[in-house]
Amino acid sequence: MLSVNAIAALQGKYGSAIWTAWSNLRWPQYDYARYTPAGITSLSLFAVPQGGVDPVSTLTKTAEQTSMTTSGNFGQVGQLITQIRTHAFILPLARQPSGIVDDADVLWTTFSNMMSKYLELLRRGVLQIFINSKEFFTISEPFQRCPPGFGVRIQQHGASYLSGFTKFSIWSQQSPRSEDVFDLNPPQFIEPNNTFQVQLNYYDGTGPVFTNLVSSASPAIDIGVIFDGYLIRPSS
Amino acid sequence: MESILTPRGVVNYTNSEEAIQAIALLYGSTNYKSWSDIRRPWYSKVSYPDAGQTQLTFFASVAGQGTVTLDDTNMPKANSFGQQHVVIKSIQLGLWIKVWDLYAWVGTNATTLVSDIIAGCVQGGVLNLVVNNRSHLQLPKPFLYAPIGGGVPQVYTAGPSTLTLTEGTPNVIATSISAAPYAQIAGFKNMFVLDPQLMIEAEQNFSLTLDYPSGLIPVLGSTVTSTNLLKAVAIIDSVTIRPATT
Repeated sequence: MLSVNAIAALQGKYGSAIWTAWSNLRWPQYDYARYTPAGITSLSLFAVPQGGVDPVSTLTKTAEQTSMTTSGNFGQVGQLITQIRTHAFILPLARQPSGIVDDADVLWTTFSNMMSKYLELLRRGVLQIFINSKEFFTISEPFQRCPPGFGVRIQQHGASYLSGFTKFSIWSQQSPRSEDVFDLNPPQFIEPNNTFQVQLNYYDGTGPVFTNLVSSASPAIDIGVIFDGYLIRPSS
Repeated sequence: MESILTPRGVVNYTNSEEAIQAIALLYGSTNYKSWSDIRRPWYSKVSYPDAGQTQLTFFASVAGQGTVTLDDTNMPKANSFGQQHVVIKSIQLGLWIKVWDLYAWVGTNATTLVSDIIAGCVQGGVLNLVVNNRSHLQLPKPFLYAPIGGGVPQVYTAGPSTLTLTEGTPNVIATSISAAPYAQIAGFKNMFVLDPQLMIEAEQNFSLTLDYPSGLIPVLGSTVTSTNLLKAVAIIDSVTIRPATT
């Protein structure tokens, strides 16, 4: 069989990319990287793709942490960014370190001990985005300016005073309101194979320190950036 | 000569075509030349097990199959909408439980479902929509990113639930527990709207899964039992285009 016939047969069976016809889908591109509890001066995002190891958590990144399959570019697809969202994400209890995960009432007692620092996290930092090494966005206090636009609606937060821990409990979070999201108008296009860098930087000193703040352990927090918008990809 | 039993008795026809036309006239039939469209949310509930699960698969069962009822799903076929085109307007994901025991809370993580909302399965996972073996959506933390629209229940509480004093001079508080906490993950404005809309054509296969590739997230709330299951519910809100009946 000639190779052209073989290719035609494969295309007939599996489909193939049509590079002259493109389709667009709503598709958030996202990346989460672990925050160093001792504080940071800079954190790079969209740098470690799926299958790579997060340098702080030392865990392999999956689709839960990132949509990226390569570092710093979207490969053969384009991304039209209409919203920039950030997410200071306190990991679920099951993924917190020992000391926290095995504390039966941690959510209503000693988790409060990190909320002051968490609030500091939400109020500090500078988000910078470079495309093909050119600066496109520099946004201060990104967790306030560019909230995730999703989250929990807490109507009543309980408190418990048990075993002498604390007299109150606190839970902080970013704005869950969709109308607070940072919209890009005009939208920003990152073309196929364009490289880009995303950094969270602290120019006013080291970022907040979370070392041993919760039940003598350091809480696990991921920093996420989401480019919501449209994936532009070849039809098949 | 064809004979057929109708509500009016046995009727004889000269050929099968004549019989079919008569039946269609009597009972209606699918007219594939004429289509109508309606707003139709398609939903699918699956149990979220106590220990967590690597993958939850939605829209893979139909009512009547095993213990699945119309409360769980309104799908006509597993992983397909059958003879209907579905234009997806939004995808929504939420938690469902029959009994939310507000009175169970005594200050520990296990005594309220709020724990699962602020620090449990809601805070993880990735939603994958695949149509004809091609990925059409990958969404992180979908309970948060794509919550169910509509009005959420409102619960307001105040005052202590438990207050225990220890004898001494002066008396001191040994235990103080407030009223139950409450939170929800829903809201019309937070809905994940597909723009442009995505059409799944008749008989096309699709799958919608909630995956936890970074590890299981067990249920925290002890309210969840074998008779009070915690379920994840996915909704595909759509304009469904189906053949008219003549």
